[in-house]
This record gives sequence, structure tokens and C-alpha cells, in this order.
Amino acid sequence: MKINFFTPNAEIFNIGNKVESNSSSSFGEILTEKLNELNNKQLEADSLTQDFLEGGDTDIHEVMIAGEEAKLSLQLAIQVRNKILEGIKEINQIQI
Amino acid sequence: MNIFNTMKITASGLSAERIRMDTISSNLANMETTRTESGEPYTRKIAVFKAEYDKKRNLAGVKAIAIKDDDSGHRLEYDPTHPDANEEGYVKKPNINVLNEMADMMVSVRSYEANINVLDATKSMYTKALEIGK
Repeated sequence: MKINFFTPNAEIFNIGNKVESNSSSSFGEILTEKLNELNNKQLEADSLTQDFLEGGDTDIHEVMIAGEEAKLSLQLAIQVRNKILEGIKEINQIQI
Repeated sequence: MNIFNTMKITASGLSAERIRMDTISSNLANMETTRTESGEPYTRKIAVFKAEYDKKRNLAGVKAIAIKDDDSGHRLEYDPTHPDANEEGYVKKPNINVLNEMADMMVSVRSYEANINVLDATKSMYTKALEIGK
């Protein structure tokens, strides 16, 4: 099919499909994955503390740094949640 | 740029200084040791640090890769009553100078505290950044 001597490529009708098939993870999956990573940090801090208290080979600074990492990750997650809530509130206030 | 990378570098510094403290404490505890398993008196130990480079960013953490013996030999002390004295009455003692070890210890403590300051500063940067848009 020629339009003004320009033949469009039939591929342009397939681009939308390609994008959807590449992003295999939905928002829910990404959220669960990141929350699992957060939980792992907490568990690691716990296990390092346990190891240190039982007299294992851990240094005190490793325990403290693991605790700080877990705390900071949690704070970041809370801030992200706050931003999302703000966004949702804004959207809810859109007048029809 | 990840805050946890910064904390890893600092953690490696702290671990290395802990190992240096261990060697210093070993040296000070064994200042007068004349017998070891090899029959020789105790040799002064030195911790060797190596930089662990992150090639992409040209930054390095540190790792104590070895604890080596000091090759400068032993000192002779005249004490004929000592059970380990040789025929002329000299005892071989470790070549450990208390003042050197104390100076090394102070450097190690200051370095440890400096690394902890870096950790606190990085953490306060991160917490402040989390308050953006509050």
C-alpha cells in the first residue's frame, strides 16, 4: 500500500505487543520482590546479632552496620509508601 | 551511587583495623616470650593491608591479607640464670619495642574512630535525603 510514495512498514503495528511481552513483571510482583529483599536485610541483621551473642567470629561493627542497613532500607520503603499514598490521594481528588 | 557500597568500604576499614589491633595485642602479650613451637623466640608480627579495587569507580576497600613476621631478628639479653640462656649467658628475646606498639595502637584507634565518623556522616546524608519533599 503506497501513500504519497511512502510505504509504511507493517512492523509499526506490532510495537505495542512487543512492549507488553517484555515487561513480564507486574507492579505487584516488583513490590513483593522488593519487600522480600527488605525482609532479607532484617533477617540478616538478626542472624548476625545472634551469631555475635553466641560468641562467633563476627565483629561488633558488622552487627551494627547490618542493623543500620536494615533500618535505612525500612525508612526508604516507608517514604516510598508515603509518596505513593500522596499520589493516590491526588488522583482521588480529580473532579469528574 | 549506593549508600551500602559506602558502608561496605567503611566496614572493610574497620575490620582491617581490628586485625591490626589483634597483631598489636599479640605482640604486646608476647614481649618476653622465649619459646614457641619452632624453638625460636616469638617474632614480631605485622599485619599487611591490601586495597581491594572496584575497577569501575576506581575506589577501594581494604583487606588484611596476611600477618607476616618481622625479619629484623631478635635482641640478646644477658641473663645467665634464665633457663633458655645459651653458653655465654645470653637469652634471645623478641625484638618488640613497647613504645612502637603503643604508637601503632593509638594510630589504629584513631583510624577506627575516623571510619566510624565517615559512617555516621554518610548515614546522616542519607536520612536528610529521605526528608526531601516532606
